Amino acid sequence: MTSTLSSESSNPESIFLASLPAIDRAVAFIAHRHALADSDAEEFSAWVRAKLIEDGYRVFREFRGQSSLSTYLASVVAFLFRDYRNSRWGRWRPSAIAKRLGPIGIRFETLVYRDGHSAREAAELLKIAGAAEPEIRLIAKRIPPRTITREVSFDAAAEGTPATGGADDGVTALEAGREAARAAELIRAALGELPPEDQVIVRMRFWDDFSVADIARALGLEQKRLYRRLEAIQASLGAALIARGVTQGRVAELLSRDGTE
Amino acid sequence: MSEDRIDPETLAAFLDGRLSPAERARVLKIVAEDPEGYDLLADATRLKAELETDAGRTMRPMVGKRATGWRWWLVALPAAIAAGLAAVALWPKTDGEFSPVELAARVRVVGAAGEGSLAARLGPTWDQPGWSVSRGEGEDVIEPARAFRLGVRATDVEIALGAGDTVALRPVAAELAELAAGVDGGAAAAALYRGIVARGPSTPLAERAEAAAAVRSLMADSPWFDLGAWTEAARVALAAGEDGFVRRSGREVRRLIERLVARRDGEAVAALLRELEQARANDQLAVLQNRLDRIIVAAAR
Repeated sequence: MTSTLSSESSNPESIFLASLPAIDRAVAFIAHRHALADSDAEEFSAWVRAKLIEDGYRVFREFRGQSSLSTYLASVVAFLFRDYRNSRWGRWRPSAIAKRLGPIGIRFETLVYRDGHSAREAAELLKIAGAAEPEIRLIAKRIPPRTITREVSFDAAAEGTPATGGADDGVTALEAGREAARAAELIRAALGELPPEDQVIVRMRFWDDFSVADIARALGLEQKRLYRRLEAIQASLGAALIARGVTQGRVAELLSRDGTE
Repeated sequence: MSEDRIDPETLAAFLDGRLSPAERARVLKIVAEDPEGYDLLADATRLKAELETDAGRTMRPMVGKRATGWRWWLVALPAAIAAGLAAVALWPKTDGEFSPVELAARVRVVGAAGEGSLAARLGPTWDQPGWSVSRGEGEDVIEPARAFRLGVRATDVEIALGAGDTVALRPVAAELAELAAGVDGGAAAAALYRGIVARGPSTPLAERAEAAAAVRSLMADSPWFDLGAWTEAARVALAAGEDGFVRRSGREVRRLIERLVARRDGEAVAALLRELEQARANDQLAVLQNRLDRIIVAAAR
């Protein structure tokens, strides 16, 4: 890709046209990562192209060269997805648990808690799309209960107690939801005491499944030192949670890479 | 640009490591405090990595392909989402993606950790990847088979430790120690692993990573070691019915191919890896399994 994106070209349209394969690839990757349905993925792709062409290719005209063009495009597509998602679905975000369960988990949670389908309907839709029933059942048990209006990015990261009876079990779901909210608050408080970079490292590692190598690359850190730093952060976070009355076993759960039982 | 917002180019410059320290600190503060800011960082990071991979990537485009539906999305569940396994992977070398500690952390095959858990889950021959083990063979194994087997066993040690299975740990660590001891200067690495066996799952991750690094260095950072580490993780994952690991390993497989084709003795296995990669990209798990078995046989002898 770098050979076709010549920084020598000052014509924004030329840069856009040369960048199209990379743009399409980025769009497809984002659509896959966020488990967009085919129709949504197509719409998003068209929307991105329109935005990039908008106002005389403003996105490319305003590029100052502070980064590589490739990274700039990656960042632009990420921002465009945020805008698209906010315009379509408001503040909805999949929970950390759903993200770790993969595209089917994200899709199930989205169908039930964003789009208002019952768990049974969501399962049927997923089966039609090709998902296997045993997987769907397992996922349904692990997706934590939530309300549609709830802001989720960090709350959901600590939702470590899925409803045992599935999304339709009202009493169990209510208790699980309360427990998850308590855990979320504890995590948020403990996390907030860490320096900003440590907070970002924790989120990338424990709730977004980045490898240590990826985190080191993204944040410009030395990989070797990052391992020890992660251990220290984990110990510090664990101590902060214990100081707040969380049992050691529960600390281990909350800090596990899956955060689920 | 306001104090509490970032624009796309600033985020891009952050990821390229081109911001001043003050500007970098500002971005980190925003990303740490704002959920949306963090999501942007996470997405942009993955996109950057995606756009930097080889042009030969075979990911199927989603746009305009109505027929594919969800098939491409079907990724097996992470193996055994188990409680209490805070898996912070450690690997002090540059090729973190082939760290046995990191690879094993992605392959969690048991629900309840403990002695015998691996055999209970995978069968009593879980640690027999396809070559026969005989006593005293430590000195007779030639390169690159030795490097390959060391990689395999380093991953097995980590899988056993992650499963809390000291019964499984002992024989794989013993074989690893024997293989290492058969190399000049390998006595120290062998001793490290004997220490790991003695302490079991309570061995700090940093020490486990150092032991794995020591063995890898013994093999001069051989791609055969990395191949062994990766194929074993893949083999165990598939044995546990979890194909997500292999589905997500495209970049690692391509790296291995690159490194092996550069070696005269690597061409045959590189060819098998290409077939494996094609099977992986086309979701042909049966073919993939077959190629994996053949790679193990070819590389371990």
